[in-house]
Amino acid sequence: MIRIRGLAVRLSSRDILQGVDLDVARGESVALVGANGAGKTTLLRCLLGLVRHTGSISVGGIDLARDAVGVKRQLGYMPQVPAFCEESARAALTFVAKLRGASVDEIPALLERVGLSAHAHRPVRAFSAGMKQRLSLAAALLGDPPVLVLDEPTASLDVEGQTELVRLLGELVRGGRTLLLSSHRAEEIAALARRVVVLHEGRVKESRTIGSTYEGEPVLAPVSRLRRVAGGAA
Amino acid sequence: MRLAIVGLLCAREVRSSVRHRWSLVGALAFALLAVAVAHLGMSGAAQWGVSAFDRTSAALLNLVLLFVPLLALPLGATSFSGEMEDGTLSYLVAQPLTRAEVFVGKLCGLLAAMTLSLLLGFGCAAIFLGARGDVSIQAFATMAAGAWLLGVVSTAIGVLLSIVARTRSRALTAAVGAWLLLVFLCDFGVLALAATQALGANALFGVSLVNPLQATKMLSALSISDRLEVLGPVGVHAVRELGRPALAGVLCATLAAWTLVTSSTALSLFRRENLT
Repeated sequence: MIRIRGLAVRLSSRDILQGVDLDVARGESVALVGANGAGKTTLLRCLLGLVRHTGSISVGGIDLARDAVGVKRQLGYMPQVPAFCEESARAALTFVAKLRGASVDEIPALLERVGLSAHAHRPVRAFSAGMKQRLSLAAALLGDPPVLVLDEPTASLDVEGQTELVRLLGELVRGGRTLLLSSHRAEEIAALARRVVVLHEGRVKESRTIGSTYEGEPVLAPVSRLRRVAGGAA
Repeated sequence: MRLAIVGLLCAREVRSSVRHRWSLVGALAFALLAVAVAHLGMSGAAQWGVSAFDRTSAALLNLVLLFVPLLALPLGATSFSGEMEDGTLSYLVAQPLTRAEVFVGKLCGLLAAMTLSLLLGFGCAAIFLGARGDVSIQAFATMAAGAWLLGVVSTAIGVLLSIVARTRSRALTAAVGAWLLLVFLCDFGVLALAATQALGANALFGVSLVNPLQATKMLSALSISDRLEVLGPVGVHAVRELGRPALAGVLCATLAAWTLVTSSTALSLFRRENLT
C-alpha cells in the first residue's frame, strides 16, 4: 500500500532522514518509534507532501512526485495537535469534507462514531483535547481513505482520552484499515501496531513484527521500565 | 486549479480575517478617520472659501497613503505565518489540494477582506461627503480605486513577508518595517538621491515608481485635480512627457507589476516551503 525507497531529508544543514526504505502492506498497522529527532514525524510529513525530500514515495501505486493530490486522497491525516479554526464541529467537518471531495452526508455517522453527535454545534475551541482529537479522527475518515496517518495521536491526551481514542483506532485496525503512526507510548503501540519500525538518527534501525504476546519485546520495554520506576509489577 | 476549492479557501480566509478582527478594527478606524478628515477638510473650506472637495480629497489621500498599507501589510503578514505556527497550514496542505490552490485561495480571501475593510471606510466617508454636498463622484471613486490598488500591493507584500518570516512575530515586525520603509524612508531615499546624484527628472520619476505609495499618490492626484502642481515637480514633468492617460497607464502598470512580482515570488517560495 505504501512504498518508500531511499527517502532522504536535509533541513538546516542536518540530515533528518537518510536512505529510508519502508513498505506497509494493505491492512497492516505499523508504528514508527524512536527517540525525539529520530525522524518519525518528518517521515510522515514527507508522505503528506509537506517536506521536500529525495527518494520515492508511492501510495496505492500512485507516485507522490507525479500526483500528490492523488496520493493525499488515499490518506487520512490526524496531526498531533488538531488545528480547526471553524466555529463548530459540524462546520469543521463540512469544510474538510468539501476539501476532500467527500459527501457531507457522511458527517452525522462519523460524529456518532467518535461520540461527538451531541456536540456537533458546539464551538470547537470549547472542546477538550480528547474531543478535538476525536474530531480530528472523524475528519481523517472523511471520504473513507484506505490509509490513516497518525502523528503521536494521544500525546496531548489524559488517560481517559487516550483510552477512548485507542479504542476507536483499534476498531479501525480490526476493520482492516491501513495505519501508519508515530508514537512514544508503548501502551498505544502494543494496542494498535502489528509491526514496529525503529528509527535512529534518520535511518531504519530495526523493523519487526510484534507477536500476539508482548513478553520480551524490546521496543515495548518502556512499559516494564515505567512499571518498575513506579514500584509496580515488572 | 479547481475554482471550487479556491472559493472554499477564500471564504474561509474572509471568515478568519473577520474573526481575528484586525480588518474589522482597521475598517472602523479608517471609517472614523475618513469622516473626521472629510469633516475637517470641509469646515476649512467654508472658512477660507477654497474648493471643499480638493481640500478634503487631498487630506483623504494622505490618510489613504498612511493607513491602507498599515491595514493591509499586517493582514497579509499574519496570514501564512500564523497558520504555519499553529499547524493549520500543514493540515490544509496535507489535504488533497495543490499548494497553488491553497496559496491562491488564501490570497483571494485576504484581498476580499481588505476590500471589505476599504469599502466600509470609503462608504462611511462617501455617505458623509454626499450628505454635505460638493462631491465629485468620479474623483472620489478614482481615489478609492487607487487606495484599493495600494491595498492589493500591500497585501501581496505582506504575504511575501509572511512566508519568508515563518513566525507571526517576525512577520509582524517585518510588516512594520516595510510600512516605515514605504511611508517614510523611501521618500528620504529619493530626496538623498536627488541631492547627491543630481538625477534628472526622468530618472527621478523612475526612482519614484519603485515605491508603490508614490505611484498611488500620483495616480490619485491625477484624478482629484486638474491643477498639475498637486503632482509635484516630478509628476508635472511626467504629465508633460507622457500626457495624463499614458501616465495613468504607467502608474497602474507599476502597481500591477508590484502585485504580480511579489505574489509570484511568494507562491514560488510557498511551493518549496518545508512545513515542519
